[in-house]
Amino acid sequence: MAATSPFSRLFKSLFLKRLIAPWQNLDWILMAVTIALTALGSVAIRSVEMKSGGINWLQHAVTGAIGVAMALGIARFRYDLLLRWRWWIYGATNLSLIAVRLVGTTALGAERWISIGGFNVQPSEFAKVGLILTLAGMLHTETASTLPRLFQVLGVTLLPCALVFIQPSLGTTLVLICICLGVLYWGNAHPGWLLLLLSPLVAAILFNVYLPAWFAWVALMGYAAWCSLPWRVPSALGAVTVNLVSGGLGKAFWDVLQDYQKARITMFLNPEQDPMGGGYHLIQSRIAIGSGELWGKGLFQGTQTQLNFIPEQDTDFIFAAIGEEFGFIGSLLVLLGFWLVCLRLVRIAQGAKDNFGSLIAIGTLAIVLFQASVNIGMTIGLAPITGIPLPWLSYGRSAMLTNFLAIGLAQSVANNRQRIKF
Amino acid sequence: MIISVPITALAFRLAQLQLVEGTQFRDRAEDNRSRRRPIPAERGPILDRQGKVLATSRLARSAYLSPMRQSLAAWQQFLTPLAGQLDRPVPAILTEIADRQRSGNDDPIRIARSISPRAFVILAEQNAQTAGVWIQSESSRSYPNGQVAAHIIGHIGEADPDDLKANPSLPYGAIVGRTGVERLADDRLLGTWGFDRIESDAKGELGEVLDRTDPIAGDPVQLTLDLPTQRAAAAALAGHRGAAVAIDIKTGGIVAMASNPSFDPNWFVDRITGTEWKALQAPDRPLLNRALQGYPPASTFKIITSIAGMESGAYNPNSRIQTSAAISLGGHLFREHSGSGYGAIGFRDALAYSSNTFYYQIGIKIGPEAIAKWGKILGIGQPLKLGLGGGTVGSLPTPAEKQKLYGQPWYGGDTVSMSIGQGLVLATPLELATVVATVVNGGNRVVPHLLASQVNDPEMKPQPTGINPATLQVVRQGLVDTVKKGTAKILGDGSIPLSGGKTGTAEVPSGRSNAMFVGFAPADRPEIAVAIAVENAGYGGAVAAPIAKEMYRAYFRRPTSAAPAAPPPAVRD
Repeated sequence: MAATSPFSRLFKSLFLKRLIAPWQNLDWILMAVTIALTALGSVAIRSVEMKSGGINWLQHAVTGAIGVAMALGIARFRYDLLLRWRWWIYGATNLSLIAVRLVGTTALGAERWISIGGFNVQPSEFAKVGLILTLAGMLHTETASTLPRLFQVLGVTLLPCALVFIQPSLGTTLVLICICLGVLYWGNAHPGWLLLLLSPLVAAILFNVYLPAWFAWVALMGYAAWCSLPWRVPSALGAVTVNLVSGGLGKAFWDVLQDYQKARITMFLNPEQDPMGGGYHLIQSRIAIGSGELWGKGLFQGTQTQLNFIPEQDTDFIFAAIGEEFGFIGSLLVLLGFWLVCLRLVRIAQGAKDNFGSLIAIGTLAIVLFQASVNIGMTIGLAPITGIPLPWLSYGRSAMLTNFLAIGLAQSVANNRQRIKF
Repeated sequence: MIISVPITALAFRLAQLQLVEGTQFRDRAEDNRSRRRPIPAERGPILDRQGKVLATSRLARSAYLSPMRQSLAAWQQFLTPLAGQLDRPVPAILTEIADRQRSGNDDPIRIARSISPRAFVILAEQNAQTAGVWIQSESSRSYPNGQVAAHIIGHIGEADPDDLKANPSLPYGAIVGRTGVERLADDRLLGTWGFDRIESDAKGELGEVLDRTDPIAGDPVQLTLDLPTQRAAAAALAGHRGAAVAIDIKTGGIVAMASNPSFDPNWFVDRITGTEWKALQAPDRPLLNRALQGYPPASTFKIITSIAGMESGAYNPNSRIQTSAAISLGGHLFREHSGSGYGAIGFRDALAYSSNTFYYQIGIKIGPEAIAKWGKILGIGQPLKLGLGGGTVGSLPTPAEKQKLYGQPWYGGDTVSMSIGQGLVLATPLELATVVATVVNGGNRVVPHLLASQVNDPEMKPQPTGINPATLQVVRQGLVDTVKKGTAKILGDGSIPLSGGKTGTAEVPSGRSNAMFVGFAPADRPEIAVAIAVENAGYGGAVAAPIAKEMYRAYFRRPTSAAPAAPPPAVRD
């Protein structure tokens, strides 16, 4: 066989070119990093399951493979076709969240799952992508540079947020809010407005923590309102009033939260106050990660992980296994991975051919950056426990598919930027 | 910017946890993953001066449980079939489990020491290992001589919270000495507990043994005691309340110290049964070491009065005093016990025949302070350095002390009583033996002690009294005369070496007199001094002296021709 004949070479190069042609503008770094994180997740879950002999690690890998395939598939299609469907997507998202209320499965005091064809599906995960598409579609036509538009976007965000919050899933609610803020920022909303949006929350916290800081904050917000809003005087006064009032309202809001949510929020500051109760998780997680030291204890060698000291370790606390067994070096590589993912998403957003695509990439960025920061932060005592999984690493099929769905959309944006002629 | 800030913050925090505080977290993770299961150290044996075993450790199979392993209800179900096979009633064990569960303390609880075969079968049927119960071989205390020397050896018990506080390295359930030598030499007997470090997961389920630190057995502790003499003393005291002491006249090492009634230290090894408890609480107080209780020394005290008379300068070894049927003091007659006088006699005869009127006159002449002074010099009321705990020392009240202690003035009769060891005078048998030892060893007051290792202890060094050798000589001759021709002739039958001694018969407020005897042997080259007190038993010469005879017999290995001591049995399995 003349395998090296010029004809054969030509055939091969043509065939290969044709094979990868649909993805020729794909962001391969983004793809590689997410696949690597998924593989690492599978290894870490395997480590957690060493003693119990579970097969979640395999499911994780299989779901990841499906997710990659799905992402590559989506990348071939033109994302801009979805622009027309944005309100259908919004409707489907909200309907699925309502369905959870009606036929959902209760777990850990919350209704989050519905069963479809034997699979437990978590609609709140897919709601993240749904919201990205809807908001990106809204801001595609008209940016958030005007206040009415801003409030329209906020209004649209409010419904799924409320539906997720009452499940209750505080963590996912925060992710949705973060998506909203992310696309607003990218969609030309005045940063001062976004600051003012967040200001009552900050005021409420400062009021309860350190009063002089609260006064300073109120004054600062007044100034921000003065600079960024029309009708300067009433706006500034309004901003000041809202921040003054929300200081007092903070306590009232606090009482609205359920007890387990309150405990989760405050416990991370000092887990030793309840070492056998609410603080147990945090303490054990810190011990695991801290004891990894520079190089880690080695794969399957982490005593905290192998001896089940950390509950729910294959989901929300998977980073503890990585920190313990792979040490500071491994942890740093994971951070580097997320940093790269975020960086590539920014690049995609910058290179997108239209606002819709650009905003999809930014929405995806918001999910990844927020979830990674808060999840890792919670395992090392920088953030409260909010039930937010670590993208690609935590076990969770709906989350995995959602993440690859979002990456797929972002890849589609990358893939469909201006064609390189050849 | 927005991307890098949170990720950098996370990186810094990771550096803090893993690099800066990493070692500390590594230690905590190590703590987390392992439990220590204590391995008891074998308690050292207690031996007599020749290496005969007084206390040893034998191997027994004990059952322990991990209290946190099961719920209280599950434990109740588990333990109920074992009722009656365990050290304690099941409810008592359940109470302890409940306490431990509340405080989160999963240290093992021993439920049975030396488990019965039946309990063993039940445990096997119940799949004990998975339930959190295991059986462990460990040494159990054993006292082969039963009640003999119980007051010296003392007994053991499980460490209580105070012991654990005092010695934090002790695990729960550790065995410590409670009384006697077991406590005195606890540090040496105890050894060092070892432990298995066992891998343990979050639920406390135990896995493989990670490593083992072997226990270090306790050291043997040798006493100055001579077991045959001790045995003889105990046997001779049987049926009486009283004590018999023998000490080495040169060193003060205690050769025998028996107290009757006694108890069996083996009772304390396992949990005490009801009948054992009742026996210990009997009205004649078997736990009391009567060798360390004050008795009126009666005529045995004449040794002290003799020395006081001569050393105070009022008399000399050749002095003679006119004795009579009675002497009158303040209109009161103080009689000779024989009913008639012995004429003008010296110290030797006065001791041999135990003349009262002889000593009345000395007492009146030299006064109570002088008697008290010399009594103290010879060893009465000196601080007790035995370390057994619970003992008392004698007392020799002077007029000033009587006023202080009893609120009563001193009468002439008090002086008279004191001179013959009655009245307020109290001395323990151990002190009386000390007095005799001091007289016959050339005037060095010995300090009684029990541990062979204490012989060279400066604390236990005999104290020179400076008593004139001629004084000591005449008293010693008087004591030998007592055996040869006086009140202790029963000892002079030739079956034992010639000895010296002094009988005493103390009138007590109720019941028969206390029989007293002190002595030493052999007469020419003394080795041991003895003192015996028998409560409400009659005459010293009739009751107490024969006990001394049995002790001498045993000490000098008579009549059984001095057989070589059997080698001590193996104490380690």
